[in-house]
Amino acid sequence: MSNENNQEKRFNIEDFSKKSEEFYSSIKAELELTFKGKYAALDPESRRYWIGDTPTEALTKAKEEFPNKLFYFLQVGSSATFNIQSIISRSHLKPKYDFARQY
Amino acid sequence: MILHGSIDDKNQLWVPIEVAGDTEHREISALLDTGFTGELVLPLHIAVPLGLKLVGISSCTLANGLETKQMLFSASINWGTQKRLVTAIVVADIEEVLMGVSLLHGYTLLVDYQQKQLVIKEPGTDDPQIAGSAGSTEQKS
Repeated sequence: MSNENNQEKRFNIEDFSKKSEEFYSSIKAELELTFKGKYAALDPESRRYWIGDTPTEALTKAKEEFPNKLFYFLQVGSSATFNIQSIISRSHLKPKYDFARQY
Repeated sequence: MILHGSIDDKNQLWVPIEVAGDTEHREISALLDTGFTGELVLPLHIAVPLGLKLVGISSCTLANGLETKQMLFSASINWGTQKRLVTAIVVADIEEVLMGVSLLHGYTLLVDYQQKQLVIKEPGTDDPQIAGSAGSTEQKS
């Protein structure tokens, strides 16, 4: 079955993030050796990754192969991908974590 | 091309850009936020009508140190001579669009608080002088 199947799945951000971070842990040493500071788009299902100078560049490369998938973005060697110093409260951020998607 | 933004009474920096999704486009003033390391943060009320496409998840560290997972959306922007894709974080309860420093990669940013002028030089543009009126763009020959 293709990774980009037509079945509707429940998508959970925390599960997806956990699988993605586990995948990243397995390739972290390799990536940090070569791509520290760059951005990566990860696909934990296919265990593939794409690298770019910006998240958008990594996304563009990933979309060439999987145009409808969701990816996990991170900055190689950084604990968090983005800092937003003008936002303090989590309540400002979109709270809905579970939703259905098709891909 | 030399781009001109503006500086408001609170000394905040504003940059005019056009943001587009699958269904709409909109001209907006973005608050230039050097404390934001990404490309764009959009308020929910602006993002929804644009029809942005969800592209993934990322982690963000907020000002209080809290780390949170955020959904990333794909948008296109027109800024100066550049039309480019960006990844945007959508936030529920803010009013301003935030432009982060990732969008400034390769650009030169000049801020003159004495004359209240903000000038941004696109990559490949020579002679980044502070000149011209705020909130507009001009083609440099």
